[in-house]
Amino acid sequence: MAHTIIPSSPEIPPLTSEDLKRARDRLRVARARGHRWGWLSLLWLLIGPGVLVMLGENDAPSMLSYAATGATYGPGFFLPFILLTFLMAFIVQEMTVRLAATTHRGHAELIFERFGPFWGTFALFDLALGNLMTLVTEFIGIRAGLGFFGVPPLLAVLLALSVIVLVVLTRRYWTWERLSLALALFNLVFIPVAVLAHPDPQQLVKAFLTGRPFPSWDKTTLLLLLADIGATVTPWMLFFQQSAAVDKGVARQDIAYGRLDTALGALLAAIAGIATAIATNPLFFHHINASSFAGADFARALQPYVGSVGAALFALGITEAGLLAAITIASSSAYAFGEVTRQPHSLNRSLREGWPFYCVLLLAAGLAAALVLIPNAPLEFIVLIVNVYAVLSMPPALVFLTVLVNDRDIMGEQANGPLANLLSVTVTLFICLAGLVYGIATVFPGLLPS
Amino acid sequence: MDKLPPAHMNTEHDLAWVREALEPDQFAESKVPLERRRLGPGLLVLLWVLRIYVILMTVLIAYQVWQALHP
Repeated sequence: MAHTIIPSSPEIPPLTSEDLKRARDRLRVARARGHRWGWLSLLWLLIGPGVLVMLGENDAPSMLSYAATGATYGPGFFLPFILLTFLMAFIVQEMTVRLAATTHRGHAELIFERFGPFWGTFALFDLALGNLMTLVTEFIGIRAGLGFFGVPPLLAVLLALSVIVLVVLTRRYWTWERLSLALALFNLVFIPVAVLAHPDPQQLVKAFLTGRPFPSWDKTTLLLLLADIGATVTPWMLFFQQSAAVDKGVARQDIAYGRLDTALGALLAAIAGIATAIATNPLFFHHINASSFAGADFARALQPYVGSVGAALFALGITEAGLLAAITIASSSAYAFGEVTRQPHSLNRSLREGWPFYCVLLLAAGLAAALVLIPNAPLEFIVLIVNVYAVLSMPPALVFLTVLVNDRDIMGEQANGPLANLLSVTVTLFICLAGLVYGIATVFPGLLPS
Repeated sequence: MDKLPPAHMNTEHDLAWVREALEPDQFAESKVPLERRRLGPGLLVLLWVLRIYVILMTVLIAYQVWQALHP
């Protein structure tokens, strides 16, 4: 067997450098269990995939969706709605934690093995198309965010690519995860921007308790509803979190901490998303039309209301959102490719051993970066449709997920119970319904006022 | 607190702890592929319906983009 430290024998499986690094991480976890304050150590050691997937999904187009929501509707229905979408995201992503901990297989690997290559290819095609479009929007966000600080587009894209290369080439999952988590914390810069926007606490409390004022039922509302759902529940998240948890070495006894990791990620991401919507409320109150705004436009338009520091933080937040998402989404593509082609697919591999994995990861990021630099490319349309496409391609992914997590042959006692199934089916139906309404409104444009 | 075993150890005896730390399916090179599950007619119909749904919706999105580009 290639790349093994110790070859296999009938009794002993072969060992790779990936196994060795993962075993060292697992040993730390095992030792933390015996300590008095072990739960705190365990939380520190086991946190990662959940926070990364949730804050990674608070990406450039998602933050722009929240910003557009706040600028179009002010404080009202969409604030509790954003919270609801992250609850849906938690319900869905928690299942990937159990799948990873029980099967030690990535999402693409499981779909191919249990459903066969025919259905697996469809799932992979949805993922590849969605990931490419989303990656392009991340670089658009990075370009726009850094553009606010006067960085030229080419330099902005090259800087982002350099960060991705540096983080990935640590060749150690643990280091990659900690660097990415540090980067993810910058997602919270939208909180001070929201404070600088001086929101009315009474209006916010009313919005969260009653969901009022409700938006008018028109095409813009429908598109923003879909964009906000697509900003929290997308196919790449399933593939990423499951593969990252497998790469981390999460096992059955870690499932509770995996849930905590996912819940903490959902909470932080919801706070950042809601803060972004609140931050752009001044544009609503001053009747500024933000319907055609891109990343840096929001920061510039907000400057008179949140000051230059607030505007700079907003631009920084959009840059970070794009950068973290580019790292996680490119990783999800590489994991899926490696799992399906049975090539080494771990961030614990050396470059020599895992070169196909690293090549796919960097090629995915590089291709998206190159597309962003094409003059006159219709990038704004990709930004508009990327979250909508995520919602529309989600139902098949949710069905694969629900069937897998109910498969007692592989899940044993970790299979879904009745409550988890009820929640999972509800989320799937809700997302299907949202997509169908969008489809009907597109085919019959007269049904909804524009 | 005990120190972690150094990474440079690489004899079979030294690496016994690796085999104890990981579950059988966590070894990268020794995973046995799972058997394919039998897809019942209900599940197959659902998968096909959703596949057609995604294709139709993708066409709709493409149409929307085309309309936006050619007003």
